[in-house]
Amino acid sequence: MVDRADARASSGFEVQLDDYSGPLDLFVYLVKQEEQDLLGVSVLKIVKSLARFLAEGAGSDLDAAGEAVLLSAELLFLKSRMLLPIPLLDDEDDDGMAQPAAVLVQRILEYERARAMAESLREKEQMRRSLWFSGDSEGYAEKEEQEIVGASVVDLALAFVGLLSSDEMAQVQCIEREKYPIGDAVVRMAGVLKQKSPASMSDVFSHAQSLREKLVFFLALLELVKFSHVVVFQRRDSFNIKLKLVHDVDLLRLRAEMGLEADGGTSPDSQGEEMR
Amino acid sequence: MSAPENPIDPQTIRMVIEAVLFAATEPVSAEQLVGLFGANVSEEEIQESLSMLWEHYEKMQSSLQIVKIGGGFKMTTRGQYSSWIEKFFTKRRKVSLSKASLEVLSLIAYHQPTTIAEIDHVRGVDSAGVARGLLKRGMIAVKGRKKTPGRPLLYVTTDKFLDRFGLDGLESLVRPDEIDERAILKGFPAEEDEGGA
Repeated sequence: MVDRADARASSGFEVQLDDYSGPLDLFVYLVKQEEQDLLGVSVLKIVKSLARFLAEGAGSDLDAAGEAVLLSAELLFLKSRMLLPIPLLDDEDDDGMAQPAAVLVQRILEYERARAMAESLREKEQMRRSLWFSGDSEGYAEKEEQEIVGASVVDLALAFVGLLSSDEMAQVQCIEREKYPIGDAVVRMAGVLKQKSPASMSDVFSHAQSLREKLVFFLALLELVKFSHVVVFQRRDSFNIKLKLVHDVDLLRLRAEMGLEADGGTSPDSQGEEMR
Repeated sequence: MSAPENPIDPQTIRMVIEAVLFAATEPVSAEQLVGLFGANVSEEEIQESLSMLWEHYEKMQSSLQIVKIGGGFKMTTRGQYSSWIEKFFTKRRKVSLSKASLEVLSLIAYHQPTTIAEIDHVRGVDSAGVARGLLKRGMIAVKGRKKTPGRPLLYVTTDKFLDRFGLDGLESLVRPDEIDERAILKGFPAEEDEGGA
């Protein structure tokens, strides 16, 4: 979004993209700032300002440069829609072809509603932040975060290989199709972590017996991480990777999300995700 | 309903609930409290004890209060003492969420389950990065995939979201239709305007 302090209508626009929230945001701001109607907004000024922004060093920041270009293009698009001739239509045909101005106003209205809702959330957040409670861990979270580092997929894969015995490693070449639905393993692993979290990766994987089951467990772990149910971390001074539930997972809901039947069976949709 | 095996007197119930609310770091639901007492205390007794406890803290003008938040109850300090507490801990709360994050969160909250593409459409800008950040913070979660081409992920808000904003439930949010359209469109041309550039 435009930084209000840096967007000056009088001496041209200085657009700062740090807190940029999209072309609609900028467009609405400019309309209100200049107290003009949608057609009165000078896109030329904005584009010139963005061109200057690119020339003055933003070229080295591809993300910022990309956003600047996107912003200009979107603003031009918005204004071009306003300049389109209004088709002469019978009232009866009005439903099918909305006028460009009406479409744009509708879009802005929708965006402004979202913005108003976000503002109401901001107020609620401020009120909530003034409340403290016993064991409020926010003050201590910073220290804990310094001590732990996120584990990458490579770390996980290496740790997983470390969990396999040499016999199991030899079997890796001949994995045959077997029915180990990943969804089942996801729910099982979440169940294990509900008992104890955080838990070491080796403890969690000790619940899987065969090599195939362990492989499915590994894929299940990736799923749990992907769906933000679990975080994986290790302390800087330790090789031990730990798994932690991010929140209290409802296993019944998780079963439904994984496409599993209530009785533990697998729905037809999830058959394709079985371990092969 | 059968008579409780070992009835507990109302004052003890209130004190136990008070102790639990004081010690708990997460909102405590009425169901959890029913589970705590088992068959000895009915849900009605729990509700009654909670409201008496709430009244007690209101009447004695304590710096503590009991609030309904995130689908449960929490004992917190009152807002006016926040600056003193911050001064005592010599550190401020973590920074609040960015404007972009709040926009994405509010859109997910009202339209959930929804996809990133649907959010992008309203905001007119890519929201995938913001959504990833919110996922990491546990404010939103993935709840399956939409049955459309590409099977995009569907996002919903979490209990952590309710807690973060002090909401008892999603119904506590301002509804989109409660927002005055006329106020939004102030300064914009009326639809029938056909003025030139």
